[in-house]
Amino acid sequence: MFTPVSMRHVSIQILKEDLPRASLALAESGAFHPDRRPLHERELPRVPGQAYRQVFHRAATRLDKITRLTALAAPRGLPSPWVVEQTELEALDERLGRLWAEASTFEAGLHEVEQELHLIGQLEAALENFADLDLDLGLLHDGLRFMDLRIGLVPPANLPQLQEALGLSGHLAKPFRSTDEAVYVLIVGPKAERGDPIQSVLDAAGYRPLPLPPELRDAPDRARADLHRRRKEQFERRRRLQDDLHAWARTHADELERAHIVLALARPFVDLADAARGDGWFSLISGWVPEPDLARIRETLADTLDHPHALEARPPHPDERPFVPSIMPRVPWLAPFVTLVRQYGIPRYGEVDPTLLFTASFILMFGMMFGDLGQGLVFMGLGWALRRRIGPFTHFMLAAGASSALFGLLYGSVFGYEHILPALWISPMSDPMYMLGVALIWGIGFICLGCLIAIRNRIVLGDWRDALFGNNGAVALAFYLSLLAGGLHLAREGSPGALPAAVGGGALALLAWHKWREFEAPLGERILVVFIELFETFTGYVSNTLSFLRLAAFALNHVALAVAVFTLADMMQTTGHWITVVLGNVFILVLEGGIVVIQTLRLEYYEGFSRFFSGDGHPFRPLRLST
Amino acid sequence: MDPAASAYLNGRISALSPHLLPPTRLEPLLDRDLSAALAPWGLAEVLESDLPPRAKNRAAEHRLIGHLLADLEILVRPLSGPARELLVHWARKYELANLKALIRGKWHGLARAAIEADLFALPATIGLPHETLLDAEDVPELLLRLEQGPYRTFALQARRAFEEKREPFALEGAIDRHYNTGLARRARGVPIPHPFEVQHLVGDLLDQFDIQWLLRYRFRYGLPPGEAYYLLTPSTRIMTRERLLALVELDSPEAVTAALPPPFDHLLGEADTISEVDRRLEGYIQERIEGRLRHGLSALGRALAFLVLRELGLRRLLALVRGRTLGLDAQLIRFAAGV
Repeated sequence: MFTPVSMRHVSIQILKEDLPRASLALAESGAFHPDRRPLHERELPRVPGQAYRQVFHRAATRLDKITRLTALAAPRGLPSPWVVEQTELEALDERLGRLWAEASTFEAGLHEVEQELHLIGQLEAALENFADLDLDLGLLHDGLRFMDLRIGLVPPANLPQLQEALGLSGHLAKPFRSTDEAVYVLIVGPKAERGDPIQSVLDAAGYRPLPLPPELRDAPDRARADLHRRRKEQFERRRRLQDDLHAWARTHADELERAHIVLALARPFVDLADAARGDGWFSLISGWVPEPDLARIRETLADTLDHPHALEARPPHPDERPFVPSIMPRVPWLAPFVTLVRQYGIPRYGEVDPTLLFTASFILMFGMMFGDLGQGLVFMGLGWALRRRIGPFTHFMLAAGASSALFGLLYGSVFGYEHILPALWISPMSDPMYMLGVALIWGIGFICLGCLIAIRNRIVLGDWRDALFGNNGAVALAFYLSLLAGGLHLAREGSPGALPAAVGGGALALLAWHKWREFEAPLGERILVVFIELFETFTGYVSNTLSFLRLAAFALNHVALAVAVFTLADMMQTTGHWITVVLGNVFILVLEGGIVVIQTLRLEYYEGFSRFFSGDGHPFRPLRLST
Repeated sequence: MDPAASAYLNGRISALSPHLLPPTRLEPLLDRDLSAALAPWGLAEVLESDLPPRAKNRAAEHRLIGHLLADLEILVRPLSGPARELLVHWARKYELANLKALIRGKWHGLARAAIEADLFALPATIGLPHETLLDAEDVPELLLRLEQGPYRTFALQARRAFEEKREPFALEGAIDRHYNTGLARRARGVPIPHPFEVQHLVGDLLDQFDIQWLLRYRFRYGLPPGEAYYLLTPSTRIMTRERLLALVELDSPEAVTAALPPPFDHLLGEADTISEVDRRLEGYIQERIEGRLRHGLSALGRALAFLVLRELGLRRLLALVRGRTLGLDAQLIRFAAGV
């Protein structure tokens, strides 16, 4: 549970013709993560299946477009799998091409309706403004012998230069209405004897003509009624198109469902991509398999493939650890904590997986900072009540609430009342110094554990130098512990003590020697950098330790907030008193609860994870069969 | 822009300046083995590959633009607001080049892979979500997808061209105009200190574009004055609105070059082809921008000047690669590479 599942690198040698069958079998196993590094590029220059991939991509795109348009859902399950040959895929692609050609007419029709409705909206708006235009609009329909007259829309940013450009051909563009999207313009100029000299510049400026209804000249009410009728027609056309589309989708539902299935079965071979390489009839698939699944994969391939094949497995080489995928735990109740760990990163293969440690320490620290039996139970109740809406985070609420309730019992606190229950351990306000001491001890333990895990991780990755001399290595840990022992001795005896001073001094000297060797620069700069880095290491450990005082500070703060609420409540009559107590508790739950979650995450990420968790691992993403 | 960002930019520009490729640095490359000479730019692998010349040139172009965009990412790091927008917009020309390639490719019925090979790989900050456009089966579907995105205006214009069965040439002009007006607008919005340095630099770039394209629009493509004027972007330096309005109405390239204001009248007076105009303008603008990089007080202005010069150098290098892969005459390569 503390380290990622042991992985094996596998190389599967097969005949090229068996590649689709093998990829399907590997996807069925759900335990094969393709390794797409160009490991055998020189010996095996070809990536088989490029044509297959192209056809697949085109077919998948077409099906995706049809699915989006028809809103038909993909089938949930898959029947017994079969190998999808390229000919079958090509036939499907061709069929999907024809289906999309049919379906796209609905899309184009619906788009036309939207455009038409948009235009009607603009005409209606223009109609309201034509009153301001000192012009006989009948001219727009009848035209003039020597004058070119038109009305249209232009993007606002294009208007000034369009006006100047039209001026060169003796035309005038007068804006008479403006919206964010377009300016309505009246264009007037001399009529050309041949052709249309301004159409190209109007095109370049994104001009769209506004076709005015003929009634506009003398009967604006009739024009309005006409636009209303046109709008209704478009609504009707849209409804008919949608009905036709649904009917079309129903007719082809089975065919489209089968297309989803065929593509789902073809996908594993496509997803193999560069993980499969070949030359002539020979192919090699590379990937990662969890060690416990290796035997099953061997059996599956033996049962599936008719031709000879060979599977070689080996542990990862030390230098390829950064490329090995890590499997994160799949325990349902851990899911919300896995999500929070992933916010920071994914453990590199071989590193300690911090999920369990994170879960335990998060729950404990949250409870310690927010210890209240009543409020903890409310958290749990809320988590349970909202379980359908918040999904896996129900477990988070239940665990945090239970911890809060448990610490409430230990502190003797229920909804802020400190005197109803006897404290099984201590009421925080009764001895704040004791609480601060407990928080410090917890912090020291947390930091030491972080350093030990960091040392272990470096050793596993073969980085002995960092395990010994790194900022969280063995020497730095010795320095930190001697610092603590020296501080304790100083407080009790008045001097740091010989042993802590000797160990601390020695560790500091070793750290300085290491940093000196690591950094290449002129003498003065080197001294300065080494000094600053040592000082940073020292202040880092001290400030990180003091950072845990917030555990006690929030426990005290919780009581102090409750005291404030009761002081306010005591100033009220009975009803006001209880309203204030309830609202005060809600306030504490929401505001302090949120702050405590953030502070706990901060402690976990900055004081814990940053010591030992690189977070740059890759998640295990096996080939899968899924629609 | 805060002093820390200015200090960062100035420091970075000094560190990156050795990457610039003035013609003097290109000269020695002309006679050397190209793969060895261009190894520092990661081009050896491309040049030694079995790709056909066109694909080789395209791959080389993508590699070189990759260097430019990597420098851009370093320079925009400390910037925010209008200053960042200006530099990012400057690089948006590659996004718009992708848009043109997509429209052109679909227009001419090219295969997806062929169009994809013509697209630049861009960082997310300036990348166009081109997957949905690439997946379009034909031009009407492409236009439908385009209408649903940020380039709706272009889609409407392209639809009209498509319905009338003509080349989307004017559309490409409109895309360039969109880019240039965006650049000018952003230059006007840069904060103190020294906003004028940035505006003058952008003015230099627009002057160059306006002269080159005024001649092309009017005399190579035969556009009417109104349309040619509309597709240009008035500069705040020399090619102002009034000048452009007067110049587009002239009826020959000679009349235009003769009517240009100083220093362009003198500079381009004897240029008899548009390529010669391009070459002379490029040399002139390069000198001006080098001056701005060396003596400029605005870190943002210097960053933009650096990017322009870096691009110019890489383009020259690319001309060299193209010339050599196509086996062109050495003199022609020298001309194209501006050496």
